[in-house]
Amino acid sequence: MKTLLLLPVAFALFTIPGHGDHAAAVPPGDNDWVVDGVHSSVVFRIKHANASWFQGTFDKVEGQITLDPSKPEAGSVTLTIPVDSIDTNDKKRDEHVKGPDFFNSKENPSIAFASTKIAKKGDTQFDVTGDLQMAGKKKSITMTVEKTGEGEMMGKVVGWMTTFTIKRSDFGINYALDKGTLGDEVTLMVALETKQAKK
Amino acid sequence: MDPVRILKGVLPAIGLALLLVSFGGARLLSLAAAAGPFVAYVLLMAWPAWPHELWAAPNGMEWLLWALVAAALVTVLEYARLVRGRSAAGLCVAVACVSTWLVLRKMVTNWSLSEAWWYVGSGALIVALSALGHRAVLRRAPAGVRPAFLFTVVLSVDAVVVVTLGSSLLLGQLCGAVAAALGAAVGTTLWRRPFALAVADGTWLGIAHALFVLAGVHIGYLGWPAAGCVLAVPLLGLVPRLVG
Repeated sequence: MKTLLLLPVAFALFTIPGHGDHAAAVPPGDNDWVVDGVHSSVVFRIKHANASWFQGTFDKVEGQITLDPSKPEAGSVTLTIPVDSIDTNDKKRDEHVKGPDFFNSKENPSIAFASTKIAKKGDTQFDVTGDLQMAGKKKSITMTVEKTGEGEMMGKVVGWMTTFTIKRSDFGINYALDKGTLGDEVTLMVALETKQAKK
Repeated sequence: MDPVRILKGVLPAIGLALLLVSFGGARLLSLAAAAGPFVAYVLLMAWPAWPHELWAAPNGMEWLLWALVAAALVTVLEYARLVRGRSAAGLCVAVACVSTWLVLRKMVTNWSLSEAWWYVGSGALIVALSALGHRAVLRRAPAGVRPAFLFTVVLSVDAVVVVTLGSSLLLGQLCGAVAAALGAAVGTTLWRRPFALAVADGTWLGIAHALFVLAGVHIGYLGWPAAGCVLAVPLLGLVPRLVG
């Protein structure tokens, strides 16, 4: 009896994790860019009831881009989108979408992308392949990213844009798929403004 | 909400309960109450991962389904008199605590160490007390269908609260499936011999009741005040006249 009662305590002692070590920071170079969340946007659209396109946004996005145009294969892109920043223009619906029926944000608080391969496609376009992690599942995707311009705004800024489509069922988000209540395909439009990383 | 989706949630549980209780009586009800939500999850989402897969990639809601299976097996063991008395109560507490930890395990990585200890510890205590409380209620309750009917109402209220205040239709549907299984078992009294819950049923009832509410809080968006009220409702059963 006593052994049985001690079992869960011993179990928890063995499995509650400690805090991991942090990797050593690498000093940024001229080709290192940081996403300016204030001037970036992530819009998604999904079909509702097999009829209309519904659009919503994620109001926060963070990330870094390292890209030498003459040597794109050596570059990297990492993006993080907090799921709690989703905005569907209805607070109750936001909670439902963030909840376990869809994103399960308390278990999986962010959507993350990390590139594994970058290849130049045209003068201003790059094919970026990487792992997209969402709702606890990871899948490799490829998107075409376009450099939309360069400018000055308290330092040099560069704009990027990509539009790509994923299937939510690939990430285990299967709720309300039947009868097309909510479509499987979700199109994401990501427009980023990046500023040079501080040295 | 789509009526077809509601039926996908409750019909498997009702069918399984009618089948198992008709053939095996109350001793098999816990299996129907565990298998019902399992089948509903398959119909509404996907096949849940196996425990060894969940260990590598945790998912609280899928762990909850396996917790119901574990609670059902403990109940069946007690019905079969393979465990009894204090051993049965100890096993019930162990399953309650480990289940709570597994359901919350993924979120632990997003919590600080002190938060993890607090949430997992208090959660395990709540689920264990709920299971022991349900056993105590059933020990005092007179034989008859009334306690089962009242627990059906309790689980139905859990489901409604999780849907409306917890913002999770799926979690509510799974809880509703457990309520539907119990309700269907109560319904068998219309054509079968009298149906009554035993003390052993307190294990799966208490674990299911508390784990669904706890999941509503931690995985969904259910607030603690509402959760506290819902969690306390079955303890009213300790007042003899309510279950008598």
